[in-house]
Amino acid sequence: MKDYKTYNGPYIKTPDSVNKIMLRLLISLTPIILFAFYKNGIVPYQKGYLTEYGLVYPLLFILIPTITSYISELIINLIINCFKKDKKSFKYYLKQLHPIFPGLFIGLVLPYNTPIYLLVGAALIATILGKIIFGGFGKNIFNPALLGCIIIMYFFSSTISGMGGYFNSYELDTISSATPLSNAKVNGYYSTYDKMISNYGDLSDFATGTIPGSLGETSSILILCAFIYLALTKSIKSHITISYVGTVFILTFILGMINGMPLWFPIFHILSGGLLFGATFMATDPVTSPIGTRGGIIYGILLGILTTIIRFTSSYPEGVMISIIILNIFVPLIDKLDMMLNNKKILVLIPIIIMIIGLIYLFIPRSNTKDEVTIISRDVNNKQITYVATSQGNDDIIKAKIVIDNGIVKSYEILEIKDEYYSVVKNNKYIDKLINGQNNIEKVDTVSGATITSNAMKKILEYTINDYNNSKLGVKVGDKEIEVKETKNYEIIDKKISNGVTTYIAKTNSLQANIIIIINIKDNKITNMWFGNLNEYPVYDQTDLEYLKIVINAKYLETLIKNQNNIDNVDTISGATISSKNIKETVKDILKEHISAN
Amino acid sequence: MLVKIGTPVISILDQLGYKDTNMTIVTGGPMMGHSIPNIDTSVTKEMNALLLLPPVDELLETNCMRCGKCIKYCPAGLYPINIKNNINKKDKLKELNPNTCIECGLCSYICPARIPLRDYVVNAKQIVKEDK
Repeated sequence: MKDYKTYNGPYIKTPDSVNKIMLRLLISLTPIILFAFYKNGIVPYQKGYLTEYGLVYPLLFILIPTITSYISELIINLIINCFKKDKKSFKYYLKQLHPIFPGLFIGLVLPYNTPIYLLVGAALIATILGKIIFGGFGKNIFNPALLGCIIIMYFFSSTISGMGGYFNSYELDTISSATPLSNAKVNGYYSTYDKMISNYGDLSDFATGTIPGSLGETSSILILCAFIYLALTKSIKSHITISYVGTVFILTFILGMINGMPLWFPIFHILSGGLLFGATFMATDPVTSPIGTRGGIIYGILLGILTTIIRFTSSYPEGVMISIIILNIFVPLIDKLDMMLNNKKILVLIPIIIMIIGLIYLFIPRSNTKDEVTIISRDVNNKQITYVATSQGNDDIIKAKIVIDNGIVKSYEILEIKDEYYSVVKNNKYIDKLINGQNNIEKVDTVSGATITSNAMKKILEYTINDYNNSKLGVKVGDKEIEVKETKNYEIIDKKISNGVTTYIAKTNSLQANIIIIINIKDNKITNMWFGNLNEYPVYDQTDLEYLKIVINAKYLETLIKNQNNIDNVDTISGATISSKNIKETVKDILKEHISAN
Repeated sequence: MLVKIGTPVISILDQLGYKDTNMTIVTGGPMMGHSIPNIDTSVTKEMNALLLLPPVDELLETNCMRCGKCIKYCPAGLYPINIKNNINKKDKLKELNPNTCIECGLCSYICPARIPLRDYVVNAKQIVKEDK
């Protein structure tokens, strides 16, 4: 009698398997990886910003953590396998695809300028701390990749932003501002289209992905294609993505309506800060998201609310990663609610609604757009006022001393600062930039990677200049009233007259040294003007020479001659404000003096 | 092939030339049928089909990846994976209502991790019944 093999259960099985789902995830990520390579490798290479190593660096940036997490999980699994009763073959572990994903996502999410050793560290943290400790694939609580990213970004934030943060070398050269969302935060969240978007092109650039951001998150169109592919093949829980993005859209739309923003405002919020990437690949990570459909929708809505709150209130403008990690903790609870809803216990909805209302309530009263600059002391001396002012920086208060003389900022000195980001600001020579751009401070860009700190420094200067300008009108400053006294900021060295042409040789102050100007006047008109020869009058400082070059290149003297009847209306040159202002005043005064003398 | 009730399965296979096959013999459909260990049984009125399935190399069962497909596809609205996870906890099993399971086998079919979910649910059904 022959015995036949017996099995339980259905005798046919879906062709789907965990590995196949993972493979589809990999397929959907391939165009995104290729686009990252194009944007951060090929484009800057063609424009001559990179060497051959820089060209392949985006691929290495993704590949290195991927390999790290795959190999580390393989080794640990094999070791654990030795102690197990039902041993699995080496081939089984080799075939598994899921170990590559923590590393792959780390490469796609971390800022582009993260050093390689931190990438490897993040991949190891993700695999070991995020996955193995909980019992391996399927049992982890937190999204492994996000856990690795957040730990690395928390402990090494100043290292990363010091290397340039999210910007590739081409963007560092051309945009050199902040990422879109920190830029929006600096501008008080509800700003104009020009301020929030035009820095980066327009909304279509947000869609195609030529904006600054991490490797994977920028190309919204490719992410959308990946989402459609994954949703059609039923590889991800698409209801989470839809409810997440939908909630953010609705909330930002309402906020925009309240503050009079048009429709581009919610679209901007959806297309920036990795929301689409997070909603498609991170929030839907099957292991760490609620298992049922209802739970998934609740999870998505809570994610959307939390992300919006973080974006509009906290000091971290990108809220996707942190909100996914926070809600990962609540997944078992949401699963339970889901099951109770399934048993028609509608009352469970009450805690959810309370939670939602509480979150929204937390977030309404915050709007910190007022000036936080306070002036501690004013020292008045003739037309010179020395200010000491403070403002809230990133971690602690920034205290600065500013000397304004005759309407011009002479010096800006930081007295007290505890920010770790200050080194970034310092390397950027930001104070020099502020002093040079003092006539149009609004247009001075903040430092990428230290947006909040540099913005606070900018605010202090803006505030003190305003204060000075107001006090000039005879308003009492502190206890002393300002005496308005004519002071000359130039000196006539020599005066020659020949053939009816009077030649003045004047010395005027520049930022650190003096500039010699030679002026020919005939019949009360300036006929010619030029700068003194460097060898003849060796008084230039190296920095002043730079500003002088700017003045010469701008043909400033020619402009002054042309407009000599109305010199006051000639604008100063941005980038060499002090030099050009002094030159202007000198020319004006000498002409006046000449006319009144004759 | 028309067969009278009471015909031994062995004679049907003999007729078709599959007497010494290595295939698995299933009575009933591919989803809800049962495989039989020997072919001496006879055809009953419930037996609507006789299936010969080639030996399949079973993919190894992996950890549940919480994809939620078993919940999504369950026609009785059950949470098969939760039943599997709580198979040793009687109180929790009662809340999960395994009694409403119709044993269709969709959960086992759809599971990408190849977990035999229906077996667990049927088992849970038994546990809950015994407890009453």
